Amino acid sequence: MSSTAQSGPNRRQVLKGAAVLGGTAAAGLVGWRVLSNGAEPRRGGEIRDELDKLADAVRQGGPGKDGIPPIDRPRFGGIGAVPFLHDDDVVFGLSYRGEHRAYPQLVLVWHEIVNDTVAGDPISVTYCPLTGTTVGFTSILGEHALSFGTTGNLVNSNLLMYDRSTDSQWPQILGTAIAGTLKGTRLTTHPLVWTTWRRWRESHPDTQVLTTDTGALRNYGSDPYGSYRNRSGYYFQDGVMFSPLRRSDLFPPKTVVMGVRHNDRQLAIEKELIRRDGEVRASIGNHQVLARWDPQLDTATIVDADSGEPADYMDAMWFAWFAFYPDTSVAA
Amino acid sequence: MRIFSLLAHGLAVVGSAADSATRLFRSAFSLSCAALRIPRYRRIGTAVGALVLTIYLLSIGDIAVSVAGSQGGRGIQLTSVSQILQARAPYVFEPIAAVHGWGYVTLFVSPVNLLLGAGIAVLVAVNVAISAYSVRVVSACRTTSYSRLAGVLPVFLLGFACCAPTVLLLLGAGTAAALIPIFLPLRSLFYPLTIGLLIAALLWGTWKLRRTMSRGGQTTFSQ
Repeated sequence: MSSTAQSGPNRRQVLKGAAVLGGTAAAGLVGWRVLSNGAEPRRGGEIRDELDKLADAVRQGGPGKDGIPPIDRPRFGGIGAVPFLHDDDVVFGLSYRGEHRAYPQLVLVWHEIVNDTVAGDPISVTYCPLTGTTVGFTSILGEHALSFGTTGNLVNSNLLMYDRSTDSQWPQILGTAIAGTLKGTRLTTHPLVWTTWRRWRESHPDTQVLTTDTGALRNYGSDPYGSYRNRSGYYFQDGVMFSPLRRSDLFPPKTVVMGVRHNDRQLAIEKELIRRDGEVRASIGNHQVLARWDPQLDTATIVDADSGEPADYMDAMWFAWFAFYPDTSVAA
Repeated sequence: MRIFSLLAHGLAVVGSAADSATRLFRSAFSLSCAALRIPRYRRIGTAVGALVLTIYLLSIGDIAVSVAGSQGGRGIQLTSVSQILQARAPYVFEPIAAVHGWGYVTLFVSPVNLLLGAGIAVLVAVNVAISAYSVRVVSACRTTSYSRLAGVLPVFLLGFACCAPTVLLLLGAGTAAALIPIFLPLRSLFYPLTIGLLIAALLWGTWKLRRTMSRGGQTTFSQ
């Protein structure tokens, strides 16, 4: 009897052990899937060119994919539709084919992307709070309209978007895919202006304004990064949260510059310089642009000096513009 | 055959360990229930648990406070229930309702966040109740030790679990820049680690308490 007992372990204990190990393995698999949710696979391999270098510099920003939810069905109202907005709160103004729209910074800071349609054309209005950049993408590629989501990742502190058609990854400032099947493709942009709610609605009384009916629930009266109205928080501190690939001491990091692009050349004009001089004429290679101060909107706009058409430009924090375009020229 | 025999022995050892763990959990559960049956420790545990849940919801932004009363939205807002399992970040989910309080405070209701927060709060509450009772038992045995109160220390990990970059910004952009590369990749581990450590602390605390009680000849709880 004792020899039988010593010859092998208790069958019940063996079954229990197998069940425990099996259960642990299953729980581990489930846990791994939860933990890896939203994590992007890192790119390996040798850095071949600038796009690969940027792709390799992608960092987690904290939220998961679409954890900062883009607005896919934006609702607009008249000037009375946003009672929480103060007169001096920042809005991003878009004028496109005779239509005027205001996108409150206090709404976009929670969403970063609005996949909108203006005058029948798809336009994705994008905002990155960490680099202070707002760009409208007339997101048509061939015959297809692209809509964008947030990856939750950053490159040079800048919003990294993905498109819903191919999952290619697009840094907002660059507007060029750095990974995916559309790698190297550049989107067409349309500029937006930074101004205040009062100035915009006085200039465009017929404006439509993006409401808080976004499909998500957020604390729309506040900004988690700071306040432009009270000049506080991240926007007015020297430090950056996510280290860029390159640094320049030419201006303090958060100095606002107007970044202009023409073909493969770039130019930065300090916004304060335009305010002071009223008008700045500069060249990008052989191409002339004209930067003008708009006293009514208290902001700068930039046009092609020859045609008068809007240039490809954006407001940007200096550190971010330089991180993407280290060869940028700078207007003195 | 020898391999199968070794495998069977290994599995049997795991099975026996599972039995021991089950006994430990049973003991912890019964001792926790007994501690919480005493009104004084139940009150202490409930108060601490409610505090932890409130801090948890504040740290993930599900309770938002504005001293200036500048919050948008009034009354109660509802959104699609289909977002209930949509993650914003690791272990942080989308709210499906918002209850606004005159621009000063807003409660964003996410059932999953509430459940995750309640899990932490219950574990902390039980740990505190057991620790409080342990202090009394230890005093009765004429030894002094407050080390069992350390059982609730893992909850401080929650501070990191909930730390979104924007929360780190409160320390300044420079400090946030230094901490983010360390904490962001580990962030998804902090919640399960907190739960694991709180359970371990509870098992350890109840095991020590049971041993102290049996040494002192005490078998039941008293106020």
